[in-house]
Amino acid sequence: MLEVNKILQLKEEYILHKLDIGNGKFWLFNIENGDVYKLNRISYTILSLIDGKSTVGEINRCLFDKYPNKKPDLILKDFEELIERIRIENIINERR
Amino acid sequence: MNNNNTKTNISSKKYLDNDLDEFYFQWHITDRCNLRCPHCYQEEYNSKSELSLLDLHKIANQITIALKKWKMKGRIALTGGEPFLKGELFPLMEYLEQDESIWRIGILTNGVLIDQNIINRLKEFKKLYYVQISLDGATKETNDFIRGKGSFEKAIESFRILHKNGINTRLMYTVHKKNYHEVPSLIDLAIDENITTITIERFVPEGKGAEHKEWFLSKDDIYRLFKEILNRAESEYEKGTPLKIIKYRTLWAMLDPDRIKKSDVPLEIDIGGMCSIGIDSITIMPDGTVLPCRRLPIPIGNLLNDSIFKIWYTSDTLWKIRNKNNLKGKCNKCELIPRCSGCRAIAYAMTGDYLSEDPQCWK
Repeated sequence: MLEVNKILQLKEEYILHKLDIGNGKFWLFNIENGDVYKLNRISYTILSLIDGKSTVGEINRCLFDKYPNKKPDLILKDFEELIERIRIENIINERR
Repeated sequence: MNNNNTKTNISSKKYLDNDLDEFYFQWHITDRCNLRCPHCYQEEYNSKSELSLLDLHKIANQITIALKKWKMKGRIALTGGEPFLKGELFPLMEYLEQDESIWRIGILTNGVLIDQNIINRLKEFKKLYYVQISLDGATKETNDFIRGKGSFEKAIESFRILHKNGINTRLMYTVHKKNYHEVPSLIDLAIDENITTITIERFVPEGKGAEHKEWFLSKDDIYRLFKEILNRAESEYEKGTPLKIIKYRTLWAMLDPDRIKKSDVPLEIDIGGMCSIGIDSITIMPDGTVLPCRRLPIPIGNLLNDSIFKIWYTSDTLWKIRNKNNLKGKCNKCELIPRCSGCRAIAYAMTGDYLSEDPQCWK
């Protein structure tokens, strides 16, 4: 379980991109080593919110508002799965 | 789209489009040139922006790093200006040839400086795939009017000596009002001279060429010319002529929209092709500046200062062109988009907007 007061930030070599074609294409690029990740819309939304300013709690509240028909515990589970994956890939910095 | 779906997904990819397996680099290693063709896309012809061999190696390293990351085979065309004027051409080719990611090397030249000494050096390169020489007329009169006195005979001589030495030759023909009437004769000449491939490229009025916008062909002229070339290509294909006439370029798909839907069309008579900007090619200038295409002079970075990945993945120009929804006029929503998206360079040269419709589209 992520601490709600933790602040996450994409490392500076990572950039997000959204291409407005069809239902949208969403990407995360490492502009130093060329790593490419294809994202779905919700992953793109979450990574956009990981801005080095907002806390985990604030991001989660934003997601709860965005998906009012979804159970909060399911949103938290999906959120933490993504954060765990990008932690493993060494894509984010974390601080309190 | 299900707005209630919060299941996240992130998957690692090697590239934007995993189906691609080749990437083309057009590398202009010098602006110096021994000719002064009036339709040239260059404006400067000096050496002030040229790089040392060390800096050329740095750029080559960026190319090979990208190719390995993308798991693609690299095709590199070395050109200028006139590439044989740059002393570092052969050392650079030696460096490129050592790298496994470099698949094929081509040289784009005016052919004037080619002699037996140059041929002997070229024959040392196993990855040299072709030497492409530009002609701008099928006759001495027309060609030399455009490219300068003596250039026709020298180019023909170079085609012959290259062929004699077993080096594939290609011919580049930039077509405009001063020379389009000679295309049929040019194809005869190419067959007679054992040239393997002809590319007939539309004139883009930029650089010095911007002073000759009156040479720009109308859409009707382009339609009639392309139709004539396609008929000739089909006829030569039926006869078994080995010459390949390149037709997988923008606009060609309109000649036979049904043909582009078929999967079994031989390459010799296949037609239509997307502009490769933002998909699988870039142009490198003598100082390391990167352009989307040599004919679209909008700098998107410099390989001495920026990583190739930064340029490729963050250039606003590239992203705008990748998103075909941004195209304007007839090009927007065109059903031929998979095989045509218009020439962005011609749109830019003629209108100042690289997203505008291709002004030579006859649709």
